[in-house]
Amino acid sequence: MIKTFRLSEIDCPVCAGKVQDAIAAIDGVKMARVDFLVLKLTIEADEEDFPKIMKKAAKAVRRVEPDCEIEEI
Amino acid sequence: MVKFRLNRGQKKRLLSIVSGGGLFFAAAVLHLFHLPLPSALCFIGAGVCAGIMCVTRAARGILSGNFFDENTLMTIAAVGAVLLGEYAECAAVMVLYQVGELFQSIAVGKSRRAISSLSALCPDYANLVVSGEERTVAPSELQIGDIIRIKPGERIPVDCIIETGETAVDTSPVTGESVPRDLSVGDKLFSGCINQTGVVVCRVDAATEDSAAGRILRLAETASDRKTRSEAFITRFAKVYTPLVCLLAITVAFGVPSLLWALRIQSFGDAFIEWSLRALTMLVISCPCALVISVPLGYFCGLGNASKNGILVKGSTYIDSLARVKNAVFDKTGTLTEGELMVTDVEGGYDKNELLSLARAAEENSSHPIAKAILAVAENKYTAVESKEISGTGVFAILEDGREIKVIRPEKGVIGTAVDVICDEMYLGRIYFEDVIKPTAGIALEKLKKQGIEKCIMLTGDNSTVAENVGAALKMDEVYSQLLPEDKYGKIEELCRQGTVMYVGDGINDSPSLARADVGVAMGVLGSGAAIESGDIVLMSRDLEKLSYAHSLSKRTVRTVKANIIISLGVKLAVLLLAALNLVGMWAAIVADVGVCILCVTNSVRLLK
Repeated sequence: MIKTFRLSEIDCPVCAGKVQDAIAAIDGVKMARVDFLVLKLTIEADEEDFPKIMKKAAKAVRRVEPDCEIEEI
Repeated sequence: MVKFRLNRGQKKRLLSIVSGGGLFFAAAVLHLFHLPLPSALCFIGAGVCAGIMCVTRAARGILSGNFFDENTLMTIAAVGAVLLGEYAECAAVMVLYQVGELFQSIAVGKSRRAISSLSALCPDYANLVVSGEERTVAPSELQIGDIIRIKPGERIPVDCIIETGETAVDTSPVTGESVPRDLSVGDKLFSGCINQTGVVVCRVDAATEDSAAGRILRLAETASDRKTRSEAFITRFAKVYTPLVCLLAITVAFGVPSLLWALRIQSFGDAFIEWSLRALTMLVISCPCALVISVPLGYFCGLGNASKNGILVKGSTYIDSLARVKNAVFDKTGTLTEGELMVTDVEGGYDKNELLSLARAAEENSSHPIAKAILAVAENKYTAVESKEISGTGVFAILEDGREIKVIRPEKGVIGTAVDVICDEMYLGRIYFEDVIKPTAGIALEKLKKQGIEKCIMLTGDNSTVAENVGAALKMDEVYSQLLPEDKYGKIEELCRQGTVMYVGDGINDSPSLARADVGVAMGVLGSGAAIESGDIVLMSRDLEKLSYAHSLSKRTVRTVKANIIISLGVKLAVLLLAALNLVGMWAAIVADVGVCILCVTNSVRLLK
């Protein structure tokens, strides 16, 4: 299943790429895409994995972009 | 005065700039008074204040195995400068780097807001009416068939049909057209528009995501999926550029001194100090962000401007293609013309208004385009007690006063569309109809030509006389008539071999053509789902001037992006060369980096105006 989220405070495409790579590397994530211009994060994973993945994603994102947060839409 | 609302990261940056900048100033003053030690301490303090964010991020980057990170490069440059005793350089690099980042962040945020004004299209509530009582619910909870009340000043939450009441609706958020529309019972309201004057009670016709605003939003959000060649180029370039420059810097720092030492020209230590400073300058120049941001930001601003004007572009790649268009192909009906018949002339000795009123009485219940045209202009004077449509020939009716009215198609020899009005077997006169050309069509086509489109071509399924007339009125270069939808498709395929083709249609029966052309422009599709799906560019209003606007905007955008690439690459390479020759120091490198960024960003943001 595919879910979309909002990201906050990413200022350059390179940083957006880093966030994307960090999230894609999480176990259980089949596809992750960060759209820099509209600050949209799209994640594909199994539904039951989502709570676990989102916790890890928040940590992973903070590691590369300290001020960036993931918000539910 | 432009107001900036700074977010958390930006506030942190501002704080570090102010404290770092203050210390930097103090250090400079101390330096003037020849106090080297306090001055150096202040410079280092400035570097630390301004650089703390940068350094922590760099540390994080290295921990996660990312060495070519901007922050890492800047940190190495600053620390290197301190080790070489260049305290002022260290402070300057950090303070200016933060200034650049802050500026970039504000500019990106600003252009983002221009696009996100679109998401304001969807209101966060709707007034659901259940058995006479009103309840506030989220629009996503509404189901087809629900009854909602919309008050003046409120945004329409979902597509719906008016059950009671009448109002004027401002469609400009969706279409960019500023004239409000008067709507009443039975008319359709589109989500995203603003109800202006009256309270209306409506029946929900589509769920939020299938409503006009939802569809538009979905499109806008996927727009950046389709990347242009220049975007792909600059991203690939940046991936190679940074490691390459870093490698160059390492060679300069270690390779050159080794060589000089091997050749016994200079001792390794002396040579290293001299050349490593040049290497650090190169590290500063190797930062890719100004480069990487310049291109997508340009397209982004172009897309933002377009959507503000009721033009939806489904991807920046279509901006590129639109700017390259050689031949513009137009569908006639509904695109160049209004797509509706209008009464153009009444012939015969009889009183014009009387004739139209009689025809109206007969046509009252018909849904034929001819009936619509008559109803639009005739006075409502008579009522028919009985009326009957004879398909192919016309309408037969008996009025209240017993008169028999026939409105029938003339036998032969008439150009265009006309009907004869006959009362009690007596011929009264003839009404002529025409599908009139849109008022803005002429100006729009002229503008397109001026903007560099070579040929304007018209395709239509209509007969050749009508087609030639319209073609001549609009000064079309080529006119092809009596075409079936598949003929249109074939014609476009043929034209595509000669250069970039734009096809403009209403999407009703020409979806294949829209898809086949290099750029398919669907016109005036507020509410028509098929056209939104099949067009690459969607004009939300029926105004053709939006088309010429979109074309000139695409040209401006491509020009801006090109300029950005040239500016950023040119300046970077120039400074790189100058640094290698030791003609410029770290200062110049960072000023160039920030300067290029500011130049590109301001250049792009101009597109929003």
